[in-house]
Amino acid sequence: MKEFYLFPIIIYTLLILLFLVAVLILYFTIRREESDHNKIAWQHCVRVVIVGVVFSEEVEGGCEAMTYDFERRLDKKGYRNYMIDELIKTKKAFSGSSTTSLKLLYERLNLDVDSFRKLHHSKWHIRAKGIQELGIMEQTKYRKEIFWLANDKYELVRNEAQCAMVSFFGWSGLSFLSAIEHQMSQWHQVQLLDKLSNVKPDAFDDIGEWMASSNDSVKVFAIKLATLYKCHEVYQDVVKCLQSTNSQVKINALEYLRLMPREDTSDQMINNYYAESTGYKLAVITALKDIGSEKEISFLVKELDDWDDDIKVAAANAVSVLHPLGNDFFETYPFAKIKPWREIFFQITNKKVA
Amino acid sequence: MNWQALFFEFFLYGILIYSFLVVLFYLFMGVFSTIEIRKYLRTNSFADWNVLAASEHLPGMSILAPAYNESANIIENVRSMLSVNYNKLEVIIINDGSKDDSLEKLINEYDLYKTTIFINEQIRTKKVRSVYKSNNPIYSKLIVVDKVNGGKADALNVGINLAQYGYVVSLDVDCILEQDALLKMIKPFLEETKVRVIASGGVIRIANNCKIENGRLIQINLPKKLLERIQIVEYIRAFLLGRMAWSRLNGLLLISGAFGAFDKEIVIKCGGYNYKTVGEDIELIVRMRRYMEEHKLPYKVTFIPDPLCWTEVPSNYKVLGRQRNRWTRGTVETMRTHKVMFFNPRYRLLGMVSYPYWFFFEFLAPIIEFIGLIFFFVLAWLGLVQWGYFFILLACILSFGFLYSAFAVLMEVLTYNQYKGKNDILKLFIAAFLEPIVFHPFVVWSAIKGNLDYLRRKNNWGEMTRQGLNPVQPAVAE
Repeated sequence: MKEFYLFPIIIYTLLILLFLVAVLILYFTIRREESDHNKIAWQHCVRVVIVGVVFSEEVEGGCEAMTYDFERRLDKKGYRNYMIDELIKTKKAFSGSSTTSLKLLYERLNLDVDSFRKLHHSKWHIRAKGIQELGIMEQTKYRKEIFWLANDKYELVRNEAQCAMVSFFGWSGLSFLSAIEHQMSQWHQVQLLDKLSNVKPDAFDDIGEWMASSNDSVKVFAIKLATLYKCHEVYQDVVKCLQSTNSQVKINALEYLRLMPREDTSDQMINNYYAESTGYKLAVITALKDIGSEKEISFLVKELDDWDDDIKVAAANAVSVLHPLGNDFFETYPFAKIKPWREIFFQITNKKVA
Repeated sequence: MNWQALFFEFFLYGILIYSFLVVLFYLFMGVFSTIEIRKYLRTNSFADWNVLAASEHLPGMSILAPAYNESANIIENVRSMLSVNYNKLEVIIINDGSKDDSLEKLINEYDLYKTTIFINEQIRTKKVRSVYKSNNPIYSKLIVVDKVNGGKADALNVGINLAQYGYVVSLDVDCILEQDALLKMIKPFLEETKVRVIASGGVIRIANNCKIENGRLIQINLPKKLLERIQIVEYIRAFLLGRMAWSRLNGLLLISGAFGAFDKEIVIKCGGYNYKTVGEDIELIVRMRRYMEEHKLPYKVTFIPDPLCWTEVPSNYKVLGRQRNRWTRGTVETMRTHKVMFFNPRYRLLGMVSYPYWFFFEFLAPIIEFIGLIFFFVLAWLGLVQWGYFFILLACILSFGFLYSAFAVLMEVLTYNQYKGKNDILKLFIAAFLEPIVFHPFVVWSAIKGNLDYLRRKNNWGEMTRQGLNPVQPAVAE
């Protein structure tokens, strides 16, 4: 049982570690309180300057508000970062000429140099932060450096670089789509689409090329763009996407076709219908409800017999819209009195129960 | 060496090796959770939640909230759910045959009418009596289902059958959600490009003594009772350290039933929640993972450390005992149902690490502790205890437990630092110190009772009396 003599050593080690943890808690609590205290002290100075810039016609308005305290603190790295964060927060909240004034203030205080310096930092999240700052503050002069980062090996860095390019140049900023090798996550696509929501491009250059990309995520994103901008020019390219092996590509293509139908759209959708997944089938039937004609009724009636109840519901909804008899068609259906058709038809004909 | 000495040695070294492994796992969890939390904090400061809250491009989510006799707070709780920041959202409240006036209150407050929705019963459930929607367009996201009582799992299955969106969020009706909770919850599902995220969990925080107004958390306070404070330390340890570490390894087996998001398609393919177990939350995740492993589909279960959901914890030993008893039975039932995975290489990490960990260190731990204690008393009675060694060993175990809890408190300070009141951290530190003395033995005893109840085939949920998050209101029974 000699090994039991090890235990006092273990206890001492644990006690020392415990003491260390306690000291660390104390240290970080105090540091955090100090940091909060500093921020409260800085807040007033910074806000006076920012409010001065936002609510005066010219950027000089803000400069008048620059106190000795404000300028003295500008030497501190933490204070400059705080200033950048506050400028970004304010810029996101405002639009119009005041954002230009904020941008000018950012440049005048050389904060763009601070942000640019972050681009060369060894830590990827700090590089991403630098890109985000330059993007939001519209520092197009750094576009070359940022463009190269749009294909970076770190996901966050390339995502921020791509967002920055879109912030700078709107639609033209999407040129990175022709070059990216990595898959774009759905989350990143949502962010880009939100950024593009106020952009109105004159021409939809390259979108056809993106739809032919070997990168499926680029293909999906290109279809989403075409849908968002109601881009009729790429109709044939989207139809080709229905042959893709990627379900996301096909589902997004169906959504585009639902919103921008042509004469042959329904036929194109039904073409390979029976070999497809339930998700695809549901999307087709839902689309037919909006774009179909009497020509598709026989197909839809057949789908009322599908084993999947969700397809039955979607088909019944579509038939009730497309059939000349409307809801009365259900009375002519042979299984109308049998479960589940009875419940499905009842739901469609009686939305509300007294 | 006689057989008594041999038995003694075997038992002693068995306990030592087991303790050593426990310590090793805790060390690994400390390291892995630190790495994972740091990564999460670095990547998540970039999202602009205000813009995303209004985004039309995010996929829809359905909140499923089963309610049984929740009349006292249900109006406020539903309002809280409806006020969450998310564009494409539906809130499905499933009244699981409540005996109180929950349904009447909902009908009156939200101006509900009976509607005829065809429910595609992909998962078999007890009968749905009726479905309600609101006449008021402000509440267009709300759906109330009235059904025959069938338990929480059955109610959730009804919600899954009814949900129109591809992601479902199970939520205890008495929980308070942070405004951006769903936005943060959907992110892991959309971020992955190589594997499918089948479920995601979020940190549950303790709302006892917090200030809540109109279904929103206004002020975070440390509870006044020691028992509640100890549970805060326990929750921080379990969520911030334990689950984050397992998430990094993609070995997470439990997403709390109080708040979790799921890929509906996979849930349906797995057959939904199991209504025969009281641990329907852990059982579902294990089954979903098993399904993905058996079909060789690449997948991930994620966990996010943000404090997104606040709930009330038991404030007395009686209710705490019932809760822990139920948790134990849930674990045992799940372990038994999926015993085929135990050290089965076919299930890779799930079979070789996650399941055995749960078996040895979650299910067996209280049993081993309890047997160890009995063994100790027997030895003491026989006069065989070497008291010097005993106290040294005890000090080792207690100081390591305290160290681990203190480390959890440190992580809290370094990350979200929710408790900013004067001396709050000191109080948590004291709670961590007292936990092994006033809390842990009771939890072990409740687990033993849970095992005995399992053997006696007791499978009731156990009444969970709550004080209510709004102290003005009377106590509610779940």
